[in-house]
Amino acid sequence: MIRIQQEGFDINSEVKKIKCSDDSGVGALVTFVGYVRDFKEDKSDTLTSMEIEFYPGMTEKALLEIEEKARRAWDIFDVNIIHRFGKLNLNDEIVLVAVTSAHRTDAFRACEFIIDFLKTDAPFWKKEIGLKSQSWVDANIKDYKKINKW
Amino acid sequence: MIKVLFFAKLREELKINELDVEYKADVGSIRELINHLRQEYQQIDNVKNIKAAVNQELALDWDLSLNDGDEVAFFPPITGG
Repeated sequence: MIRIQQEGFDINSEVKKIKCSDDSGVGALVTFVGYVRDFKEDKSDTLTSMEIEFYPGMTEKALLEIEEKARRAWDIFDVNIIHRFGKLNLNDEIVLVAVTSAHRTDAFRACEFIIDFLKTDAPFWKKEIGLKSQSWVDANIKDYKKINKW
Repeated sequence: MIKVLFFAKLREELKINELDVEYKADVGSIRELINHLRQEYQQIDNVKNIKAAVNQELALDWDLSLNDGDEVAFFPPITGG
């Protein structure tokens, strides 16, 4: 399940979409939620909001490809990925990755793999809006180094 | 025609979301296409580490041939999540 949407999401109801109470084979559910935090590169400014842009068509395909790679690598049941776009405020949720599996190791690994590749392969761009200025976020070299471990 | 799309900082610098470029011999690859665009939009050079996608697939080889009807996107490095 992959969604790119402007509106926020409720973590509990999103988790229930992939873990119903009668899913007796599911032994593990791992979720990752990313939030807008105040990390403006210009330390003299304070972040108030963020604008997220994506490439309609390509972004969905890229996310699907990442999910498929995770499914091939680990024994997982279901995946729920949501990424928001548009204007988001400080503390708003940006992204959700939720994965179910029979055992925790597969769910942990697959969830981390998906969020790591989402950061480098799924075309989204963030712009930080501060009290004094606004600027596009530069790519983080650590994110690109991190995917080499997979 | 080649449909060219720009995103994020590149879109803002160029003040344009998309444009059509006539498909001809001197725009036969991504590298040639961006050099062609640079003649009109020198601001392209204000954005570092530009990435390209052809038909919504990330293109690492900028010398790969383009075809008539391709969709080519240029954008800064990805920063989602």
